[in-house]
Parts: sequence; structure tokens; C-alpha cells
Amino acid sequence: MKVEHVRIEFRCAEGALRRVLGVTEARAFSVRSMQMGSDGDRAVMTLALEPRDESRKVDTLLRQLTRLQEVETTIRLTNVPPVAEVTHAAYA
Amino acid sequence: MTVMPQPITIPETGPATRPATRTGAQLVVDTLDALGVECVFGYPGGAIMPVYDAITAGSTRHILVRHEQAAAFAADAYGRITGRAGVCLATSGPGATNLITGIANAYLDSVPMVAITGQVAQPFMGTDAFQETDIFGMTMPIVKHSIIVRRPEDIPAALGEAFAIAESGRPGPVLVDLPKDVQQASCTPPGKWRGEAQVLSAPAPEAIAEAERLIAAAEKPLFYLGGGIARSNATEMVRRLVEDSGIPAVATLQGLGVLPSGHPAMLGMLGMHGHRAANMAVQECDLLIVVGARFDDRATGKLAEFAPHAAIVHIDVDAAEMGKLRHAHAPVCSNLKSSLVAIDFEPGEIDGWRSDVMAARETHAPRYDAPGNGVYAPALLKDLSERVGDSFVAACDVGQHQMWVAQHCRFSRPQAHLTSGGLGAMGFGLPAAIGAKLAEPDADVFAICGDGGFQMNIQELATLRRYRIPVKIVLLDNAMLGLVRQWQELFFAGNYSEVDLSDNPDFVEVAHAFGIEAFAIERREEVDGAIERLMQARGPILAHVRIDPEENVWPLVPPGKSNAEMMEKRDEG
Repeated sequence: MKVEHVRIEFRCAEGALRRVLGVTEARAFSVRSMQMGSDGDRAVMTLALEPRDESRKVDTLLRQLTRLQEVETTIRLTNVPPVAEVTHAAYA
Repeated sequence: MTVMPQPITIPETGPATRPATRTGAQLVVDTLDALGVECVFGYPGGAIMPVYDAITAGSTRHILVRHEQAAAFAADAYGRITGRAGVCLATSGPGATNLITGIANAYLDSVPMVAITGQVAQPFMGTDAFQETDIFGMTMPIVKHSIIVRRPEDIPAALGEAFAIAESGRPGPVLVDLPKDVQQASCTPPGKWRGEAQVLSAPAPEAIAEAERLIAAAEKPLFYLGGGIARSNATEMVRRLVEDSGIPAVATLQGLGVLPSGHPAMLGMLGMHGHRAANMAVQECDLLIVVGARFDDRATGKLAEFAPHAAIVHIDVDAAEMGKLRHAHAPVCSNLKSSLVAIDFEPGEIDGWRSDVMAARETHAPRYDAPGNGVYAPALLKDLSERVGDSFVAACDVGQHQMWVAQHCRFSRPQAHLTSGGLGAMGFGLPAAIGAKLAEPDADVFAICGDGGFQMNIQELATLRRYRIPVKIVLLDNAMLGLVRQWQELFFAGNYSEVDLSDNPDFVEVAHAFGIEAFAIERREEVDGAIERLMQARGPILAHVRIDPEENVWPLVPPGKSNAEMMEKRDEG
């Protein structure tokens, strides 16, 4: 399945990170990798996501994430950022 | 870009009227009063005791239920009817977890609700303390938003925000978790707070233009009316649009009542147990104008074969619904009323189409001449709703009786039909009826229950009795989990597994034990008298109606099939 890359900016309210990741997984996307930075007020997160089946649309996911009160912007990235990939233990 | 502010809560307290200090619990009560909350459904316990101590001094009425799930269901119904957030209150741990089904129910049906839970004191949070659960985390997937309040002075703003979020945009439940030490601590009350309602962009002009182009070009247009219309208080506007445009309509389970039953443009409910004429029209239309609906699978059947010839105009408040399950050729996303006002619904020549679908409605009208002398539930429900008239409100459980209510009752408005649609939660009926009657005291509120669902919140008979709430209960008892039995008959080769409830208690005696008037009927000739007795009753009353355990709900679209493949009674066996 094609891996999608998205960037999410959100306010650092209590529970915001759990909410973002929870919606992502509940809407049938697996988080393959994640990078995040925060200044305490705002956070920026870049995710590599793999949909669980081909019917899942990343644009729909981004609109679902935008419904969260803390989420300020979501962007589907076309230029893939240098997100760290964790090598599975089986291949190590 | 035009924005449409929706001010919700802006109480301000001047310094002269503000007491020097208030506890967090007192601020909860002060804020509920300031927000105009008239009624709270709840159940006390250790971690919420400070609020229960303060609530006796407030003006908000507290209704003591006998299980927290019932508090959430009652608050849900209160929210559906009033459009204001229904409020439920519970302690930490099991009190909070017992709310969860009701919160999920409100989430899936987009109902405004504020659930307030006690929590163990902050030093104990995260230590597996007595009656500690992470209700904030547990409910994240089923709330529109949630807040843990960490300081007493933040309580007014947190509650104001909770109500504003719950009621604006696409409504939904908001959880406010209050650690006990925050309830107990004192502070100088904040002088000013406001809840910021969601601000929605105006609908995109290009989407409006495309919608108008599609409507003008359509030869077989059809409205698909959903629950969002009632939530947006847009019922009257939609009625005018339907009547002015002449476009026929179908409705989802939650959209029933937007057009009164019997309205000349109304073809009925679509979907799994929808009217044949409604499903046929959807399959044949060339334009589907979806208003406040979300292509729920119980409405669409096999999605790939749903409305195969139709372009889609999708009008909804929630951008996340656009294209989620079905591509929208014209996605019109904004406040529903603003979108509806912006679009010219002017179809071309559709008289032939309208005549055809209306003729189909007559051809496939339900029949009520069932053989035998037993009570035929669809006929009873039709007669009951027609005789009660516009004041009729039905709160259902889930199962066969729920579908019969949807198919056969006459509803004057969507708020008259309270049903657990998205979650499908048995046990909703009785507590929802309690919430409905308190929200609308002049309505004639009926809890239409099955024998399975009724026993899931049967303890609320005590709530009826305590407050003398004149809810009328029609208990349709087939001594079965009827809809499961029907599916086992049709799709599991008649292997009946754990559906027999023939050892039900004597429900009349149960009602009497709670101090509630009750009677039983089982013959068709008794129906008229039973309806009359229900209508004349001045207090709570229960009619125990024995019905045929083998009666099925028809028509039926088998799971996974297209809505074009409806099974009828004649296909039985």
C-alpha cells in the first residue's frame, strides 16, 4: 500500500497528541513513522501513514483530523520528507 | 470569505455581584445556572460529591436516575428535542464508564451533550487509585472534544467552551472531567468568560453553481433528507424547498419527520428496512440531493450499487463527510441553512418522474390486514401515532419494534422520533422518553420498547415513579430478541442461538412493584381500548402487548446487498 506523508500543526492542549494519533489509527491508517517538535504552545508533526486498504483516502483523514479542536492545519505532502524509518527486528 | 458567528454563551459577572471566593464545585453550579441549564441527569458518587453538595443551592434541577447509562440517554433525548446540550453527571470510575454507551450514542447521532464526570484528586491520577479510570482517554474516540479541568478558576471557561462546542457546527458530546481537588479548592471567580462557537465558512460559490447546474439539468432529481436537518433547525426551510421545487424526497431513519408522514412529496425511509418506493426511487434517480446525511451503510446497502445513475449534491455542515463514502459532484459545505438559502432549487420538467414515484408509493403502500386475531404491531403503532396526533413523540429501543415505529408511525417533526440510529443501543427507549418528557412537557411521550431493550434500563421505572413523569410505555413483547431471531431465521439457516426470552418476568407485576399503572393485551380487539387508556392516563403507565414471536420486519435488504434487492414477506421461507 502506498505510504502517504502528512504534516499536522496543532495546539499543545492536554490530550491533543493522543487525539491526533487516535483518529489516524481509528480511521484505518497505520503510523509508519513520526517526527514531532513543539515549543510548548504549538506542535508540528510529520507522519508517514499506510492506509489499511485502498479505499481509505488521506484527504478524508485530513478533514477528519481538522475536526479536532486543537488541530490548526493539515497538509498532504507531495515531496516526501526525510522521515526516519525503523528497521523491523526481523531484518536487523 | 464570509463568516457566520454563532454566539452561544457569553455570561459576564460584574465585580459587584461576584462573591469573594467560590469552590470549584460551586463554580460548576454557578456556571450551569448562568448557561441556563434547566435540567441535569445524574447519579452521585465519591469523586463528584462536592458538586452534589453545591448543586442543592443552584437553580438547575437534578434528576436522579438509577443507572448512569440512563442519565446519558436522557440527556441525549433532551438535547435532540431542545437543540441545547443535554447534561449528564456522574462520578469517576464506574460512574464515568457507565456513561460511555450514552456518549457514543450522542456522538454517532450528532447530538449536543455535555457529560461531566468526577475524577480522583490530581495527586492520585495515574496511580490506579480507587475508582480511577482514564475517562478522558477512554472517551476520546466518541467525543467531539474533552477537557480535564486542572484549576478551579478554569471551570467557567471550560464549561462555556464545552457547551459552545457541543452545540455549534456539527453537534456532539463533550466530556468535562473534574478532579476532586479542583472541585474542593477555592478561588476568586473569574470575571468574564465566553464560549467560542465554531465559525463556519460560507459555502463555496463554485459548489453552489455546480449544484444549481445539476439541479436544472436533472430529469429525475431526489432529495435524501438526513438527521442533520433537525440538528440545524432547518426543518421548515427544507419543507419549503421541497414544496417549491416539487422534487420528491426520501429520508433516513434520523430524517423521518422532516417531511410529515403523508406529505405528498415523501416517499418514505430508504435503506435496509426502507419503503420499496423510496429505495426504487434512489436506484432510478439521476440526481441525489443529500441534505444533512452521511451515506450510512444501513441507508445505502451495498455502496457500490447505491444510486448507480445519480450525480451527487451533498449539503452538510461537516467537511469530513464530503467524499468520505461517495464522491460528491457538488460538495456544499457550511451551516446547513446558509447553504440551502444560497442554492436555487429550480429543476426542469420533472412532472413525469414525480408521477411515477408517487404511483410507486401507492402501489407499494404497507398493508395492515395481517391474518389472525393477535396484535399486529405495525397497525397498533400506526393507529397510536395517528390518534395522538402532532403531540406524539416516540422514543424507541432497538430492534424490530424500532423499525416498525420508523415504518408505520406518523411523525409531525423530526424531534418526534427519538431513536438510536448510529449506535443502535438497546435500552435507549425508556430513559430517552424521560429526557424527552422533561424537555417538552406538553408532548405526549411514548416509550416504544421491545422486551429485550426494556430490561436493559428497566430500573428507570423508579425514576418515572419518583418524579411522576407521565411517560406512556408500550412494551411490544415477543419473548424474543426479535431482530436477531429474524436474521438467524433468514441468514443462519434457522439456527436460533440465545434469542429466547420466554422466561421474561411478568411485566405488569414488575411495573406495579415500581408503583406504576400497567395492563396487558394480546388480542387485536383490545387495541382500541388500550390506546384510549394510554391516551387518557395522567401519570406513567405501561401497556404490555404480547405479539407473535415469529413476526418479521418487511421489507428487508439482506446485508451486503444492493437496495434494489429487497426481500418481501412473500419471500419468507
